[in-house]
Parts: sequence; structure tokens; C-alpha cells
Amino acid sequence: MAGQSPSRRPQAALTPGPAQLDIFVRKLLAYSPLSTADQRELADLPFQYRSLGPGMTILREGDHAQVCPILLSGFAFRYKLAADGGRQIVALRIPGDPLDFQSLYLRTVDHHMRSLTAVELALVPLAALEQLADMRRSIARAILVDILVEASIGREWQLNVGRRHALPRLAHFLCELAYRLEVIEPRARAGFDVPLTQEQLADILGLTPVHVNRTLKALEQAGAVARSGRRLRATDLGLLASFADFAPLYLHRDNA
Amino acid sequence: MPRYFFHTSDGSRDQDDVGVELNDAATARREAIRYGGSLLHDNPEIVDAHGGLRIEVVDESGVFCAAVLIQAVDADQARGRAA
Repeated sequence: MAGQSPSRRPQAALTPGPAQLDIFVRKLLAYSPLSTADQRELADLPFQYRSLGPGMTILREGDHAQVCPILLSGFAFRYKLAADGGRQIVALRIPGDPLDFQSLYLRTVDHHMRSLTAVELALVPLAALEQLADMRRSIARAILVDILVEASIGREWQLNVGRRHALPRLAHFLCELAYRLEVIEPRARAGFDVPLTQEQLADILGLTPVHVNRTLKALEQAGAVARSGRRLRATDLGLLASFADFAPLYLHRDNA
Repeated sequence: MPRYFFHTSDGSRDQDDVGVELNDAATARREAIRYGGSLLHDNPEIVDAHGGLRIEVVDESGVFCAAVLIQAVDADQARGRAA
């Protein structure tokens, strides 16, 4: 999946590939009970395949969406802009995540979304999702649970940005990312590569890049992260969790 | 983009050996001020350090660009000086 040209033209999938939506089904299964029949229906959803380079628009505020993009690989983020152009990242989406369940219920997209890294998307027609949700109550519930868990993470981000000091703030975010990645990368809590730059971490955490830099240095000296060049790896999640006083309840990993 | 280094003194000196890429010296100066604010937001007692909080901005060639100095002055100190 890595190494594909970002300028590749979008392709239409002629028939849905059951293996391709597997990561999406696994994500939903981690938070909601779904029968094998439910899983098959989800895996059989029609979609159009699209690959994008980093920093490309996925959703625009004001859109009336027709499709729900599913993130097959790579990371994406939701953001809002202040009048002076200041950007606040309000959510991060990881591989397997649906990117616009909200448009099943709300007419207008109320934020922007961009790819963080190069991404691969499966564009599922909202009509097909809606039909499936109408037919199968368990799938409708799984959709709702995803929306609710994202809202819970958003509340924790408000606490994180509003109250935590820089070091626990950054440590908390890295712990959260490890727990979320665990769904698709079972060893994430033993260490993972952080796909974000200092500037992006600053935009997420409400800190200046200089402060992020200094905080990363402190975490590195403590042995919690490792940096080489532009790459950042979270290496000691136990230590990060103790810095952050991390409690994973709000991630609802016990819901399924 | 040019790289700037933010050496910080708040009782102990923290040498920035990694730096941050920013557009220009004016942006670096602004970031130094915001950084000072961010540090003080978390730990207001930093101003009590000897010499207060000092952030020195230096460019890639080691040339000094700007410094931000933040100190608190208390009523007792002010009275003492005037006497």
C-alpha cells in the first residue's frame, strides 16, 4: 500500500472486494457485536476506490455528502478554521475508520477533513449504508456506537487541551493513539510510529511547535519516546500512561 | 524553511539542540513569546527563578535573533529598591 503515486487517478471498483473492507468491519466489531451475516453485509457494500496524497481534501465544510469514505490505509484529520486562519485539529481518524457516518443523519458537513498521510479510501454510497442500517438493527447500532465513541474522544480532547499541562497532554494523546491503533495493530501498545509532525501535534494539542519540541525532548530523555530525524516513535507506553494518568475508560474498548 | 533554536533559562538552562523550522526571524520571535506564555500557563512559579524566564532565539548560524525576558516584580522588592 505504501509507495503508490499520490497523483494516481481515482478508480472505480467494478465489483466490491470483500477483503478490502475487512479493516472497516474489524473496526466496527471492536466496539459492537455483529453477527457473521452482519459482517458479510458490511464487507459486501459497494464502494469506489480512491487514493490521495498527504494534505488532500476529503471533506469540505458545507458539503452535502453522497458517500461515506472509509479509511483503508493512512491517517486523516478533521479540523476547523478560525477567522485569522488559525487551525484547530478536532479529530484524528485511523485506518479502518468511517469518515462521515454523520452525513447519514445531518444534511451538511460542519467541518473540514484532510488526509494526514497518503491514504486509500473506499467511498461507500450513503444510500447503501442507510439501506443496510434500515434492514439490520445491529448495524444501525454499530454506526451509532462509532459516532458516540468519536464524541467521547472529543470530550477527552477538550479536557486535554483545556486543562492538562504540556507533558501529560502530549503523553495522553500518545497513549490514546496506541489504544486506538491496537484494533488494527495488535502490538501498538508495545510501541508504534507516530505519523504526525511537530506542527501537526501542535495543531492537535493547542501548543506551539516550540513547546511540542521541548516536551518531546523531555519525553525522549525519560525514555518514553525515540526520535530520529523527522521520525517519532512512542516506545514506552507504560511510562507515558503514568505521565498522563491515563485511564482508557472513555475509549469504550469494552463495548463489544 | 530556516531553523531556529530556542534556548530556555528558568533556573536551569535548557539548550535546544533540535530547533524548529519557521518562516523567518519575526515568526520565531512571535513563537518565543507564545512559548513563554505556554510555559508560564503550566508553571507560573517559573518567574520566581533567578532572572525569571528567559527564552533566547538563535538562527542556524548561531546568530542571536531575539530574547524574551519575563519576570515578576513584587511590592516588597519595589519598596526596597525605592528606599
